[in-house]
Amino acid sequence: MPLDISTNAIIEKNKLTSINVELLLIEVKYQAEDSIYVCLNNAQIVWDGNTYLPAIFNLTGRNETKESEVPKVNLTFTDINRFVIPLLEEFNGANGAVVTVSLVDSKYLDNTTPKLQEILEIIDVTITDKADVNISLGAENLYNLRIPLNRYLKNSCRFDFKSTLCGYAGTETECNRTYARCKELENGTRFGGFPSVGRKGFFS
Amino acid sequence: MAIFPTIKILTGLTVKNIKIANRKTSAAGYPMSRARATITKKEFTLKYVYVSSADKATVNAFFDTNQGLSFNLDNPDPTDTTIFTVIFGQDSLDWVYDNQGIGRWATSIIFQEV
Repeated sequence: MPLDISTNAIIEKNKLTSINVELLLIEVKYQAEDSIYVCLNNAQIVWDGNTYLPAIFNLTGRNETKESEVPKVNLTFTDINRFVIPLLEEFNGANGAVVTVSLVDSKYLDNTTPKLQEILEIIDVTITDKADVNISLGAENLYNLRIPLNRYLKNSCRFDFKSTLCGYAGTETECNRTYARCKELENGTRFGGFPSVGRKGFFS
Repeated sequence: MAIFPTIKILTGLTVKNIKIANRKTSAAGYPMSRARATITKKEFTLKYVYVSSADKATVNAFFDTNQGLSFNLDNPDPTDTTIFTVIFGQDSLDWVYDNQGIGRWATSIIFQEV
């Protein structure tokens, strides 16, 4: 979406030469954890109330192929001190973390509207044995989603055993998701399958 | 943070002020450039001659302990008292022995500000 940038920023953008630095800022937010702020610069930057620490990383352009793959951006860096790799391992590759990439002008840091901003998601992480970290950023691939969310099965319950939807609160510890087992546990009225679904499938 | 030891005799000093920039020439031939970092960093090259064996051992021990780490360097310029945080800018310390004169060592060390 085009951003409404200031007149100063437009003038700055059109200059042939400038002392101002176009700073690339990255915020990584994973669920309820504190955000990580880094910038591609040799000094820390304070922008929009947050302090971005200097870091060395490479952010590729958006990658599109004729195979109709979902476009993605690669964020690569070398974790020479191994600060980030343990975090990635602790948080399951940080998949789903929201990465906000902003481009701002070093002269107009008081302007909280960036020249460019992309909000992406971590979809894949690769770590080599030399501590090179390659993070793929992009959007969720809809072809990988299960749609519709639930399948209509005749004799298999959708609900996890003892979950809120299951509702069983007895002493038994196992359930094989069948209607027979549900009746045995006297929980048949909450069975999460569809016993009246035909055997021949939806199109028959 | 460790401090680089004072060694006698400093006979040469080169100071580079480094501020990188992106440069590109347009199709019409106009050069375009833009600063790539907000801060100017320094690089010092210190040249020593007539270093005693004891001072040489001190520098070697410091290099062995602090290679890969950042440490403090008193500004070699005597008119400025700024202390810089630096790293070694080289992977080896090369010593040259002067056997013709008074039998002392000479070397050159590069420090990069971080």
